[in-house]
Amino acid sequence: MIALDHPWVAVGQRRVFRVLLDAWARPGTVADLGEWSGGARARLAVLAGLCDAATTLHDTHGILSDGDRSRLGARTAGVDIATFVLADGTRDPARLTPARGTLLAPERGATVVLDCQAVGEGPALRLTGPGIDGVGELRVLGIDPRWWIARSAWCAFPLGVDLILCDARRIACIPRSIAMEI
Amino acid sequence: MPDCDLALAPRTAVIDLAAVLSQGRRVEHLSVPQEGLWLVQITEPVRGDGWYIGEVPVGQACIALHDPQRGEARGGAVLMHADRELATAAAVCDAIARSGWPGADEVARLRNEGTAIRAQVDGVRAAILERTRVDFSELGQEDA
Repeated sequence: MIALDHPWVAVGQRRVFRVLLDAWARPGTVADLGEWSGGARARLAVLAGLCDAATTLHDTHGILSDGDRSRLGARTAGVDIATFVLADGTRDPARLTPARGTLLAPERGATVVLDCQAVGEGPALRLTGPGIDGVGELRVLGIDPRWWIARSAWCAFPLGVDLILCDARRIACIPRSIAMEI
Repeated sequence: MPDCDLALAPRTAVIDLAAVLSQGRRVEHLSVPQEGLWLVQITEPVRGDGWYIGEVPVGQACIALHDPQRGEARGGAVLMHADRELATAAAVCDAIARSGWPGADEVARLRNEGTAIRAQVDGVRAAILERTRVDFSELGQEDA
């Protein structure tokens, strides 16, 4: 058979989705997606697990190749209405205005997939909120600090954006309900 | 010759031919092959509302075939079979047939097989239909 490889195989996408659910439930924990990413960066495995033709995607910094963009199947949308926003964390988030949802439909807030240098290494973030026993710590390397300022401006629970931080293999989630200190 | 006749050719023959045609070439999936039920939607003409009138099994694939010497050939297939492997193989055959690369004759032969199967099935169905024919004009004459 002329087969596809990870991250385009359904069984791997289901495993990625399961890992994402666990990561959402335990904000700040680092998970490894290397087994299901097929050698691509973890951001592609995340998007392949979440996107289909019913979703919308905004590739802020043109990170995806044409082939990967086509295989994801998600429709292209403006940053203010896209369900998923992909961005390069090393660059300034200026003028980026992802959907924050509304009080009647907070679920319409975007999920921002942020590519960075390393997850689990680098300066520590202190996290508190649902899913964290006391105070949690997440180390992230290679993120423009202005992303944290932008996030604090976007998030006023239940409105806001959810972050998935990705490096080559690893991911960590920071839901909008989490308070963060640098 | 309709492209859909390829879907009526024996499944293993289409898959085996696609495997041969893709040897030494790179198959790039332009979209992730899908299989499942396709909801058939119509738009009613008064209010323009969408209605789902039923569902059909569908498999679809879209590929680009990369040949070191000849370059790229693209092909696609949407079949009324929930079978992504068959759809991918049909898309490879479609790429070869469209580009006229070596192997196009083999694809045409498989299509001819499909055409023959279609003619056979149509003949059987026509015979079944013929046995159910009722001549209402004769009934009317008896009543009179």
